[in-house]
Amino acid sequence: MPDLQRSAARLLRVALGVGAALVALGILLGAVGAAGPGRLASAVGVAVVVAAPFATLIAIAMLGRKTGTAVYAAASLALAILGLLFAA
Amino acid sequence: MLVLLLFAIGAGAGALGALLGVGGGVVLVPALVFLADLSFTAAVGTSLVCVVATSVAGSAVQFGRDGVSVETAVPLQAFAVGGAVAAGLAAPLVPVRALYVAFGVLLLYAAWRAWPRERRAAGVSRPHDVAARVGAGAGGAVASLLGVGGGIVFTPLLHLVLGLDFHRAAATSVYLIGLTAGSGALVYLVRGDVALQLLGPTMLGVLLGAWLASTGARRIAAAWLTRAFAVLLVYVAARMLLRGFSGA
Repeated sequence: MPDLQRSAARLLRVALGVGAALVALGILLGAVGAAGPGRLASAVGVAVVVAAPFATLIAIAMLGRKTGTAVYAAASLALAILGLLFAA
Repeated sequence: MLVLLLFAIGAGAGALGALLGVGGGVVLVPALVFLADLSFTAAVGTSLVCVVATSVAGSAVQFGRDGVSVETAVPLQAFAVGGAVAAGLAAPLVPVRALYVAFGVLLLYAAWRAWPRERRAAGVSRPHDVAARVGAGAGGAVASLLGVGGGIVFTPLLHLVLGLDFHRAAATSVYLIGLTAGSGALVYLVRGDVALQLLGPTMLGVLLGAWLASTGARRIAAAWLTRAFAVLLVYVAARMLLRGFSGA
């Protein structure tokens, strides 16, 4: 279990670094007048951060190697996707 | 000026969220409504994305310390996500004034919870029990409807009902709120109910505050901090209830 937790921590740290850097870049680009690219960078940064918990969920399911864990992860992802489809 | 203010508020919300195992939405939603003049729905959507940021920053530290109880979180996560998605889809059908009143009541409850006092973990339930699953679903629904992480429900559920020690319960709650707030945030993002222009500075503040607080969480004697936080919550609750009942 500690290995699993360390892998999840690494994944989240990468997502955090990439997401925060892109959002900061977006703010800087917006400040110097490049509003379009700024919005794009911010949006990608936000998407990376929002996707991170779900990526962790998948990583825990894959590294945990237990059927129950995989079933709960699949159910969580299916519900989130279902919500997206209904909202769209 | 508003950008700096939102960055500072985001940092405070992220720090409190990471310390107390909540998402920080109890600070962010009122700040976005009263200071940035956003509609309640847009404030909820924007707050949910920031709550995910709190969770990602806090979980990155807590997973690294083996602090999250994965075996407790896994059986509860699908029910929490289900509650969040259902409430996110139902949110447009709920009258806004009712949401203000519900949020005010939630803040008063949060203030009562935050006030430091002796609490005994009961450990009367297990993650596979129906009661624990219903509690997780309720946490997800509260998160999505009111723009908070759901940690106000998850932390007591994990600590008082499932018997985890407070730091482990808060760390596990921080992981769970990422999934519930993430599910809700996706629904609000698709509907266009997120103020992207205000999100950047608020989210950066949240990330910094949550990271710093998670790093030093076990060294901080948070009693006075949480007392001040509880007083602030009561003040904001009064403003929310006033707006809900009078429409002002």
